[in-house]
Amino acid sequence: MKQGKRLSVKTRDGGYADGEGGRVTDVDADGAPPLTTLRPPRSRAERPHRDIGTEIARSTGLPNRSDSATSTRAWKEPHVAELRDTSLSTVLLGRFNPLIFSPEWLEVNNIIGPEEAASARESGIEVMAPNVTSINLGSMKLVVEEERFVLIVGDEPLVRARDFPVTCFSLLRHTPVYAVGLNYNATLVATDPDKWDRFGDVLSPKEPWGNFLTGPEGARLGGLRTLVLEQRLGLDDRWTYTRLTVDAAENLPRMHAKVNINNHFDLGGADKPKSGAEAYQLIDELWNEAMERSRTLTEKVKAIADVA
Amino acid sequence: MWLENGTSTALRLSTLGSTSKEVAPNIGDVALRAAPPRGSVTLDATIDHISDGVRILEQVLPVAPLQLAHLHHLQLKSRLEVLQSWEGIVIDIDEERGEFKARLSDLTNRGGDESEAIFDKRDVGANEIDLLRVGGIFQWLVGYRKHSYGQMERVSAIVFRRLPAWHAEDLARAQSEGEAIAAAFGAD
Amino acid sequence: MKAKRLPLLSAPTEAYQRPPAPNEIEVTVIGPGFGEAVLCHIGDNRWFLIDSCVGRGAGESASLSYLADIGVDPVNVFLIIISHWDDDHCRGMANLVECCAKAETAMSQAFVKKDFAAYVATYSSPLTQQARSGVKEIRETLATLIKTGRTTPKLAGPDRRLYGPLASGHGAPVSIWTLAPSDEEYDRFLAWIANEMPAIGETRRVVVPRIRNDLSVVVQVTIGDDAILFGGDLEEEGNPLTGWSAILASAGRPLAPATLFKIPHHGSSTGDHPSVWNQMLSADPLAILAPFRNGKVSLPTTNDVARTLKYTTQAYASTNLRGIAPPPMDRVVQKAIQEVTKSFTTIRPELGLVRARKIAGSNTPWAIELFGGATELRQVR
Repeated sequence: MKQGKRLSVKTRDGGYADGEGGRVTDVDADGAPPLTTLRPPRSRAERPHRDIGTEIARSTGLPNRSDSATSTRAWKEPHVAELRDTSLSTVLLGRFNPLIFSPEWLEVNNIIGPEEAASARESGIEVMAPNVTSINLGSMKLVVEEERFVLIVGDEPLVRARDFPVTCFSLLRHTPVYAVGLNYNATLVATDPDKWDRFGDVLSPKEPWGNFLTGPEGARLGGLRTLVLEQRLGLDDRWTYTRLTVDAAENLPRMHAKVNINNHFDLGGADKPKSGAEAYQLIDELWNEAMERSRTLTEKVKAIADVA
Repeated sequence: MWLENGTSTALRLSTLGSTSKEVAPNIGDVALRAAPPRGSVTLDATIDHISDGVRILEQVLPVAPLQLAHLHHLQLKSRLEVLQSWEGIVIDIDEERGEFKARLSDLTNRGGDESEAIFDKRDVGANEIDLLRVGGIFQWLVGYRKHSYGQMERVSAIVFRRLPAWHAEDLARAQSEGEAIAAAFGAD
Repeated sequence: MKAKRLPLLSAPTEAYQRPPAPNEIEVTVIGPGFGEAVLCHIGDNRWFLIDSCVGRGAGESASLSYLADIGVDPVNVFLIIISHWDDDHCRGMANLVECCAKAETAMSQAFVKKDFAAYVATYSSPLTQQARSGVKEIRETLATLIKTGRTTPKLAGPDRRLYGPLASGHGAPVSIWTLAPSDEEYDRFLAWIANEMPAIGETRRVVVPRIRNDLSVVVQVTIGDDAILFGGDLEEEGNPLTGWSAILASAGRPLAPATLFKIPHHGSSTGDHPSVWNQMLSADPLAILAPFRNGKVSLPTTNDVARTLKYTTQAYASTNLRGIAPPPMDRVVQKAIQEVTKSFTTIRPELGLVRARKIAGSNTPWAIELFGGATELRQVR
């Protein structure tokens, strides 16, 4: 079995320097990280190929059902539209004391691990003040204001967007909380400008807007910037609405749009808040379904872009 | 004299005048200027300052909306593109051999086969090793990590889930349920 | 909208779909799914069931699927015996109990004691995404029984006659007994449960049950002069107060030798006691077992097969233990699996059924039918 070398900045026990954890198994032969941008995998001619599916099949005498067509999917450029950079955030509205959420408190209560806490203490704290705390925790970020708790998880495992607030509020059971938002975010990227324009036209047709969007001889004067749709399904009496936003914001590159699914749950109301205990139970019970629905909705947006 | 708005958190004072009034903090060169949000506290640096019968204790920096937006921004140096992930339950630990056995449920193809695998304990990072115990829950992620400087690596990561602890209330609730079930079956 | 029910077998034959005649006794052993299941027809379209399993990818209890395949309404099930409490061995039980609305249940009293119910409630919410909690099924089963007003289960224990003698159209009176678990096993189980409760402040985790099933129920059915012995998962440890030793020493059990034996604990050596074959069974009885496969462990072993075939020439297994093809996977993922794990095996239940029928009260031999992956025991590996 070929062993991959370790990058010089990583250790086997410590994982990645950014605190992510992981074991590197594939680097250049000289052990140094390559300086070029994304490179395709080495061809069969360059390095020996092991097909574990065939090896297992050979040793057991059973048919090899491994799918050879999927092994290079990580390297394919998007040919229509692609969803990238999925992130999640969990937001609670209520009454909080930002100063509670220190790295020490998070570590002692097993919300983050010792290495995450050390890294946060060293360089993660952006601000800790009575009205706002903001801490970088590797691929997570915690921002707590007096009326809002926000945890952003930018990288796998995304389930931390569930575990972190659930663990926090299983401790802060009596904290007043009156709303929960479970947010799913992704970036939709396309490469074909015509298809991209047609996608915008599908979401919001230009015809009703006459010469606001269409100039003489059909010249395109503009188009859709942001679309927001809201659904109130009544799946659960706490599940107030699901809001889908497609936003081609000005600070994004061309043919990029942010897709955001905001699943909003009211817990009483600002003047009659419920508790942290009810908030964490809500997240526990409805997380899987909220994420499944969000994933499906995001895929639906991509599907619309694909066929436009 | 103090005015409290009835919350059980740190001492709080009611807002001063109109909430849309811009307040210029008088601390060093900090250039944060913004209308304080409703319900916030804006204080003068001078401890003896009293306005409308309210004693100002300490300056709290109001955070401008743009600053808030910045605080919500998460900059990542790398991102993991997952090809395959499993949820794992530790079913046995062999300290002598330094390995653990886990039952795996496929998260990428839900409803797919379950599997059983044996892992080296060294694949669990120092950040998580305290969570490795029988019944512990983890995610095993296999995929590519793409760095912002252009490198891409094939990686495998075992990340244990940091779940809430059982608190006294949880165990008490379970005991109540146990008693209710026993009573329902006449098996007290 | 309810999903369309799938038949238990992918290609059911006419012979398979024939229900038993009113004067026929039937024993069907299904497994392994996650767990195993036994159905017994005592005549006149009256059925009792022992435990539950589901097949791969199927949410419904395999027993319900089988009954539907042969055109039997679950309303004809009068008894469900529950001997397992962990998810791996009784999947589909809550659904089974709910659908068999007229069935009474029988179980060890330990399952309805407050300590066990508190244990189950505690571990029911570990917050997993996909993996089962280990106690979800039994918790839902108990909740279903309370919801449907079936809160006086028959209690399984040593030398207890649950039913009978029941009159029947075929003329042979039927009695149903439990012979285990013993009182010692019951006490031991409750002591173990008390030690397993988590401490305050302990991070949530999933229940990983003991391998040994302390509360295994052994059932003996007498039909006239004939008998059937269902060995459950009972193991022997050489203790006169537990296992088969306790049963053999008992003076209160029915003595009719059984002509059909459901071999305990997947045919393993720990489930074997030679005196069971000499004292409780007829000569050359029909023996059926449900194999077990969980990662690298599979039962019965080659030695187990050889030992069993010395006791009887008529031995069958509900499925075979031949190798499982790995699932299709991305080549990069396969490579990572090989590099990271010391071993990686797929667990895939391969359902099969062994069905035995005979005319009640007759001296005719059992008629055996094999379906799915079922096989003669000599060919199980």
